[in-house]
Amino acid sequence: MTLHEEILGLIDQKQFRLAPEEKEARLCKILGEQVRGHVAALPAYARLVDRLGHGPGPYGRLEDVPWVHVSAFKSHELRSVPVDKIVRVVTSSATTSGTPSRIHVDKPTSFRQGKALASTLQDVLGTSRRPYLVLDAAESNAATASLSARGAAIRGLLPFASEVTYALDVDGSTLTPNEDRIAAFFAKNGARAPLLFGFTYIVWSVVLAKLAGPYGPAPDAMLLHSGGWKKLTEIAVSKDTFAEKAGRVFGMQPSHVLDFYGMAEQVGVVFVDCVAGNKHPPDFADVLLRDPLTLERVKPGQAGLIEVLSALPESYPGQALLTDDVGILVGEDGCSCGRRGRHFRIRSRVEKAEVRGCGDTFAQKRVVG
Amino acid sequence: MIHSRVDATTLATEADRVASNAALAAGRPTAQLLDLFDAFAQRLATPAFADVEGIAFLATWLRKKSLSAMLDASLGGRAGALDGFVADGARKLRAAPRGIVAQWIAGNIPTLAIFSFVLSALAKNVNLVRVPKESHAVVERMLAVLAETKVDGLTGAELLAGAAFFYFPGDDRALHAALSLRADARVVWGGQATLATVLALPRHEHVEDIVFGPKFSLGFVDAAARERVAGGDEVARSIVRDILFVEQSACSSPHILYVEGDLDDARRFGGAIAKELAKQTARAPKRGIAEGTAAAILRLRSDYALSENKDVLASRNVDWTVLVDADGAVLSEGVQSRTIFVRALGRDVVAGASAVVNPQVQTVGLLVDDAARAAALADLCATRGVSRLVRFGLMNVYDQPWDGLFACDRFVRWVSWT
Repeated sequence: MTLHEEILGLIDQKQFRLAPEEKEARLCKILGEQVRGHVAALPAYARLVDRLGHGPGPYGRLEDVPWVHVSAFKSHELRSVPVDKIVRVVTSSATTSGTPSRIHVDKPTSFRQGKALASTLQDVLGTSRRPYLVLDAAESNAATASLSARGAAIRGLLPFASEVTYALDVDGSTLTPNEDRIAAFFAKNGARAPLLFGFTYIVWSVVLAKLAGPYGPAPDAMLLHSGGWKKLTEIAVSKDTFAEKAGRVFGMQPSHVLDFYGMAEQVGVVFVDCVAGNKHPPDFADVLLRDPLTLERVKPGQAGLIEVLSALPESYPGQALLTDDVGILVGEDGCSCGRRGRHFRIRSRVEKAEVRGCGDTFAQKRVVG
Repeated sequence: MIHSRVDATTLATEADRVASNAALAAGRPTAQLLDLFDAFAQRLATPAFADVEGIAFLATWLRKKSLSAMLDASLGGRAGALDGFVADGARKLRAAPRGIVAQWIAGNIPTLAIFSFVLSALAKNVNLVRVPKESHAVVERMLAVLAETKVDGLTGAELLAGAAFFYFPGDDRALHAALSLRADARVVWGGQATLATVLALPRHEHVEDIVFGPKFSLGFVDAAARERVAGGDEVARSIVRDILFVEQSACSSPHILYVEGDLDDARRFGGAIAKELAKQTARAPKRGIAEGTAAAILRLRSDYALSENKDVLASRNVDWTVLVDADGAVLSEGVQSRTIFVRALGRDVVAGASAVVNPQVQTVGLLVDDAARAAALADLCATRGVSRLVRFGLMNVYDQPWDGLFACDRFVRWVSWT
């Protein structure tokens, strides 16, 4: 069996059923081979593997797989295949740093990403296609060589759609809800278990803040949303507040509003809330929560820096990406939802160190006053 | 001993109590104060305080000989003026206390409150000291020992009758203002936010402000010294001691070591520093780290490890990190937490230094073997606003002058009598 076939095997099987030990062993083997491929193809990555002391493997534990910090995709062109093999460059939203990540995706990677997302979401959405209301503008999913993270996520849900409606119009850089279109969508599809998707901050600030509703009723509607929690935290919008407001506006059940965690650098890997409120990595990926001091795995109940591991990328070294997000490990196995393996919750972005002394200065000159 | 959450009423009561001791404090002989602090020093230099970072230096600094020399240097050889008028040519001079000194202490150095209090008390002032929460435990233990210390004619408890130590939250502007309005002098140790807060507070017109604001420190190494270090010279130990102190949170902590030469030169020098960091860190592993700091370190490690014209040497955990580059005469934001940039500066360390030193640089660690070039570099640093030039190992030694001023001199009002 080739490596590609082995990865497809993990993607195609019914997700969240693998025993943790078996999953770790299978992933370590795959990731180790992929690391060696990137080392051979990408000098920058070879330097990283050497300099940070990871070595070329094989790896017996997921924490031994060489990690790259996600911010590296902003400052380095991390591409392991010739440029003519790249079918798409995914860019991040750059909400925090102002500089977008650029992720080079080739055909095999793109193929796996699409299948992987579908396989994961099948566990949440089932196999029947649903009317799909995209809480964004059609322009976000424009067919170009470069694709934003928003576009990639919108596109990733298309396999679950029986029909697609875009709820927002764009004028320059301003998004506005098209109320007539939304009303027509719910009038036609409210009882047909529609699927709604949007980026969290856009759903809140452009849709829920501006629409009174109620549309629907849509008792079996499912709203998935992702990204932008930092901004919502800043304006003190909790997950519950978000879900209740969505429930009122769309005439749906707040429990059907599901947040998922994912990133442009790992398209195809999403962590959707389970009924117990936890997030689970699918079989072709995993998550490590690393203690900020020791970088070892944290114990259940403890918080750690989130590292996402994935077998999907072939054209870039995204096998292990360390993030600036902090999660809380709920357990290594035995979630009450029935899914196997590690499960966790997102806590926040990393907390910045408190400024508290005379040595807190930047090197640059600053002005007091 | 420390009011952990003072309110307006308590602050006013404490300020009244302290003010009522001002005359007594002003009349206290300097010799008695020096004896008391000497005895205090002996009680600090015991295993009971071995866990306090910087305690050995504080205990040495508090000794009579050390404080006497510091007073003499600070007051232009006229330490006697603290006790009465002394002749100065045809006139007489007196170093009178300012009165009530309000102090805002920073949280990065646990012993800072004691240093600052002693300097002001030696100038016969009474003190209102806001102690950051992070330092309460250490300061409380030290004050308890000081209170029990006795010498002929003076007890620590009597001295502390002229002082109040307390805390209130940083965003309580009303209490900041109340403290400021009781002051004849204000001492501020801290970062941008603290400075901006305190300097904007209402105050009386006569008030003297003594500001120890945010600063940044670095080092310069010439080619000859670089080779010595790369070859195993023990000065690497001193450099690493400077890096390890209070996790580089002091304004005197080095963040960048500029090394004469190219990337390979810097890499070899960085290797020697890394080796020493590994050795010293094994003896004193890091006890904790802020998430944000850890994330910043890991971002930099990733960036430097991927870059062709950079390098990184680091522990498996986040204990220490050496980031090597050839970025030349540019500054970088200090990361702290045992993270040091080793930056190749090209052929001429003096020329390179001229582009990076500025008034925000507090201390420069100098490792320049060539005496003439060391002098040129020192002169350059002095005229560009640097406050201290020291050899490595002494970067965090709290001496006078500090931040360009003799603190004790600013704690007194000079009175002339002709």
